[in-house]
Amino acid sequence: MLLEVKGLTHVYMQGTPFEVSALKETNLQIARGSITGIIGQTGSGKSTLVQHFNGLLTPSKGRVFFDGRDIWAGKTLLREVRRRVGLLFQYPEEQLFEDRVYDDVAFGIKNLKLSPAEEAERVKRALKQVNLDYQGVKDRSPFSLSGGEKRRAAMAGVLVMNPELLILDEPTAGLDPRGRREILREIKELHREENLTVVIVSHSMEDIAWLAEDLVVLQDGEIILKGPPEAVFAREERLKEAGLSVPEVNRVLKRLKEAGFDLETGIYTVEEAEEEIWRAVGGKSCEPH
Amino acid sequence: MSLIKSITIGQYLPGKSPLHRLDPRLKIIALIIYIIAIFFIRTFTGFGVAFIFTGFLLLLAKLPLGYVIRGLKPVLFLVVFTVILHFFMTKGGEVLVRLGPLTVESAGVRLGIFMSLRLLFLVVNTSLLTLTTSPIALTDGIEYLLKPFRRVGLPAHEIAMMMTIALRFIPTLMEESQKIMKAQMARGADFETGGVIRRARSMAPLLVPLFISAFRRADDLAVAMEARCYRGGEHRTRMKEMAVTPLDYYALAVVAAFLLLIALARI
Repeated sequence: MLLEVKGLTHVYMQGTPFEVSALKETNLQIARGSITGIIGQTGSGKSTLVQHFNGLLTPSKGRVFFDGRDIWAGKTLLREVRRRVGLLFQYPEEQLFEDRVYDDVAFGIKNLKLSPAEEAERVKRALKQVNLDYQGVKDRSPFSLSGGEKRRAAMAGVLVMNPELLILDEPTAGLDPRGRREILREIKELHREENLTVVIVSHSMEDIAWLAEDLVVLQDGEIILKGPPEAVFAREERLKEAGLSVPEVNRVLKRLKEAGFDLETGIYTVEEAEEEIWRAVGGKSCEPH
Repeated sequence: MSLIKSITIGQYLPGKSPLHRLDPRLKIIALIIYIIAIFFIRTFTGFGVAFIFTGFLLLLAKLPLGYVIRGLKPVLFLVVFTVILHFFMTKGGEVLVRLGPLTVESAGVRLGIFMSLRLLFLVVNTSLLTLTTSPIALTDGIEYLLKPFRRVGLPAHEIAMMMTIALRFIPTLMEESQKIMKAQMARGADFETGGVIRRARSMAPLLVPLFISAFRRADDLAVAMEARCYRGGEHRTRMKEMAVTPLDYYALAVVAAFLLLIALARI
């Protein structure tokens, strides 16, 4: 296991009248090379949970193990964990601050005392991973980029540290459909080509269905469902109780089935659904993919 | 980050106690009177009276005592510093302790204790005001009390509005700065170690984004206010009119009794 969480409880503002317990006795394992999606309503504890993965939040109770070691065992370890676990916050473009995109991306590796050439190489690579043109953007101000570009520049700022585990908190929030698709595709590529372990927090069932291999559903600080997407989405009623739903395309399939078409309803991504519908109507997709 | 969490000054705890229900104008005036009175106290009996009075108010306000006491933490350093300074620097009376060239004399001890007690009472009672008064009520009260100064050109309404907005955004900005701090820490920023210069430099990744978002928020707020036809204090009515109730008269009587006792204790 790359990451393991045992009996994790987190209480905000402990000992004040504003005390809220955001996580209750949570247990979770993230395997190396997996993509895990964490879903849940606003306030269900998703962000709190992932901020424990790199030690940004201290557990009120319970332990977090990275690569088999308790991350709170020593201060040096914590620093190492922060480097090996990259966390991209919600609206990460709000943390850009340097004059040049290059410096902003390089911020995370400035303390590593790399040679200028090595540093440039890593920045180049990180920008390439997010499909930004190194020569084109390196000297521009991050504030002159478009919304989607800003977000990708911020993502490069995390990737530049070569994390083994990448955590993304709502990476597609507030982006247009195109920016969304691009970001998701980049994440999938990173996962496939570099065998990066990914944890993605999202509101969007569509994004999660397309990307995740494993799902974790949170409600009021507790994990209520866990497993592969097909198994989790099959529990539609339980998801509704948690304020969530199944991907829209699945509802389309169910309606079609009600209308008399003979098709499989355990499908949750648009691509597979399209194929299934073509199959059911006995035709062939006219556009190649 | 722990520092930000421990600041309770200016925090409001909603409640329904008599203290919460008092007219904000009266609470502000009472606090001013109290602060002045504190500096007139010269005997331990006087401080006893102040202690009983404050304790009475705390009980009345039904606030969690531990929370109020925790709010004293940030001023603790100042209190200790005052005590030490007075112990060694103020001369007069008998010599109690002699440490080489330094002496602790009775007048110094007395003054040191008095000053630190004053400081503590000051902070407790000021936070008592903010803990039991919503920021809106507080600024409404201040605006009302500043009204007479409008004749000499003081923009009372604008000042009150600025205070309301500032108070309203303290928690927002704190949350925001924590979020940015965490985000930068996640990509290797270090806010905790290093010397003064290094630490000051390490603030740039925090301050630049914080300022950008603060300006953006200010802009949004200005647009939102204009869209709702806000145009300053002229002919503006309130949703909640301040009204004096019998409770306020009782409070006034309590304050008067306190003043009388302080005056008696001075003799």
